[in-house]
Amino acid sequence: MKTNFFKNRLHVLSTNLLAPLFLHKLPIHAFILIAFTCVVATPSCKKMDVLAPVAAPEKAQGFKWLIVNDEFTWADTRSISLDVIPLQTDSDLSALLYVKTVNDGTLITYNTSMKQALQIKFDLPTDQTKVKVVYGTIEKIIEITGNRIAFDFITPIPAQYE
Amino acid sequence: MKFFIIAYLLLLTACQLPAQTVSQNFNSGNRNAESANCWYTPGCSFTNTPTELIEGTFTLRTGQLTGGGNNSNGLISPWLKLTGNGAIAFKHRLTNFNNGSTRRVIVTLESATNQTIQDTLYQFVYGANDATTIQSVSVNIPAFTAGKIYRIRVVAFGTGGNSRCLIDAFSAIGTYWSNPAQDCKPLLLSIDTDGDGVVDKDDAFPTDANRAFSTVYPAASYGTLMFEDLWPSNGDNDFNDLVLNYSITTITNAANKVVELKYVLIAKAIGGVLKNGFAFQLDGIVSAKIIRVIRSKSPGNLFSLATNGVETSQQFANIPVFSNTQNLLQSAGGNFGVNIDKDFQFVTPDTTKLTLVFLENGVPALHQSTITANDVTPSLFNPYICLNQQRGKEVHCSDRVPSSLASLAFLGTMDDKSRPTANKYYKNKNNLPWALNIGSNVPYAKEGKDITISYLKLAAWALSGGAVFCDWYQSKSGYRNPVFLY
Repeated sequence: MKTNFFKNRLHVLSTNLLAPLFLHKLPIHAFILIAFTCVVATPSCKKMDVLAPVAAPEKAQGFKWLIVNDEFTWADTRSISLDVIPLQTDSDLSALLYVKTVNDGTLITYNTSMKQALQIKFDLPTDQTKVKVVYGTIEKIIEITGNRIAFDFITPIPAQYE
Repeated sequence: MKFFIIAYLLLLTACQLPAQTVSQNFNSGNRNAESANCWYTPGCSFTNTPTELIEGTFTLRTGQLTGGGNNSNGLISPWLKLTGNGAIAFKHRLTNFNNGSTRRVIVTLESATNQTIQDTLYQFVYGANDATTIQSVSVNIPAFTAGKIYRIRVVAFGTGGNSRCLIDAFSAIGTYWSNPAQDCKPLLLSIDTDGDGVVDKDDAFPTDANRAFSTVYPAASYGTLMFEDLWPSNGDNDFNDLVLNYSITTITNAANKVVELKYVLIAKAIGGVLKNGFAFQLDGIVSAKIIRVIRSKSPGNLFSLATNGVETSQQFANIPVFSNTQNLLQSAGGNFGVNIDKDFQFVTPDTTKLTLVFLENGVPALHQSTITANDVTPSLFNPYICLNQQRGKEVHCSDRVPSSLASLAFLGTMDDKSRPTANKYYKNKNNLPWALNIGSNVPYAKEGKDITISYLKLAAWALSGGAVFCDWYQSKSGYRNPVFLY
């Protein structure tokens, strides 16, 4: 269709404008060829630039083509701060407080009594959204929202003492 | 080391004489909190109704005393080690005495030995005339309880009506003998061989009083470091110019002070020809805190070491590991690279082990304070390579600070767009890095294989700013192209 369009336009051009000159003596197909050559030789043709093929898809793939937010750190862990809320207790015992992944990978171990207020820092893989905090038989799953979480030693009253 | 075995009763203060007084006034207003402290109040609530208060801000109020012989409505103390003397004291009354028959309160002992309720020490039967009068009770603790473990129960009974019993100001001569961390069971005799205060079953070093706990990062296995070494120019993005596995073990003592940091570094692959060195910095940790560095091998001549084994002239502790990758791992048959092409012979990775000593016999370095695990989280680990024997030409993970010996003249040149004033380092114009630190032991890309066609979710992860595919490095379905991974 594009070929017909140009052919028709060139035909009009030749018969209406250039006929008075010498071109009327050329056959139409020769005239078209000459005209087309002039067109493609013309620099800065926007129409031709727009129609020029874009980079092949495979050239746009690959690490170097990524454009990443400046604030992205490329880290696969984040620092979390755990506030341990003390319990008012008669007990002075110390035991181990574990912070673990939900798959029981130990992130940090701390020897503490229930009376002691603490802030413990640990690094957590970014794909982990929860941690397990264990102190003796006390075990709590804590959802990670932001980079600060809290743990206390209070658990539900045992059923037989409810 | 002197060996001695102690029958350690979890905390020596629990065995002190004279005995303690334990007391309960319910003023916390929190049944759950008191339950966590092993004070149980079955069937009760804590009331702060002014007309019901006996003392303080809260008083224990039983349920309606309609249970007849129900034995669970009142106060159960923690396990106590009694001395056979002294007294149990408390105050009580009823809310009212209406439409009911028998109302009484009793005090009994429950033995830890056989956990049976026995020995009624006190009983009070309310009459219509004295039901709402506060009774102040003092009950002698029997001699037969000396040295034995009991719980004390103050329980109210009744039949019919809606009376409740109010109890307050409880105290008893005895030593707290429950373990709130173990379901409030009685304390058990435990062995602490090295006497550091941590019983053997919890002590990773039961015969070493200077060490108690050991935590490994990453928890599951090794982490993986991947470098491009054409910095400050962009590379081919296969991130295999140097590949290492690492693990960090933190050794702490019973007081949670860091004794040692142990590193295992395994050089696995070299995808380039440059003679690169490798070291790591502990951001924020001054060199002087390290008493000494114990190495499995010399780090080579690229680095200058101080007497304690860290690198000299550094603001923070820098630990050199090796000076020249080409000497460390040598390809068989003169092929390009090491362990980057399956067609060529595999070369056994090289392992370096390091121990950074922070405490020796419990004592830190001269003029230095101790540090805790909080002070040396794995995020302080700042690994880097030194390019082609140029000590000052460092390549770190993105936004990690260079060491004091890094030549800042390289920053911001060619493809590097570091902006130190904005704490932006080692990223190009598209914020792409030259190094990756992955907290897992993962395969690396073969030579010339772009990392995004090897790890198929990495691009999406990065483009989302980490919002999706945080697990991009895992071996889930559709996450990897194994053909491109070594």
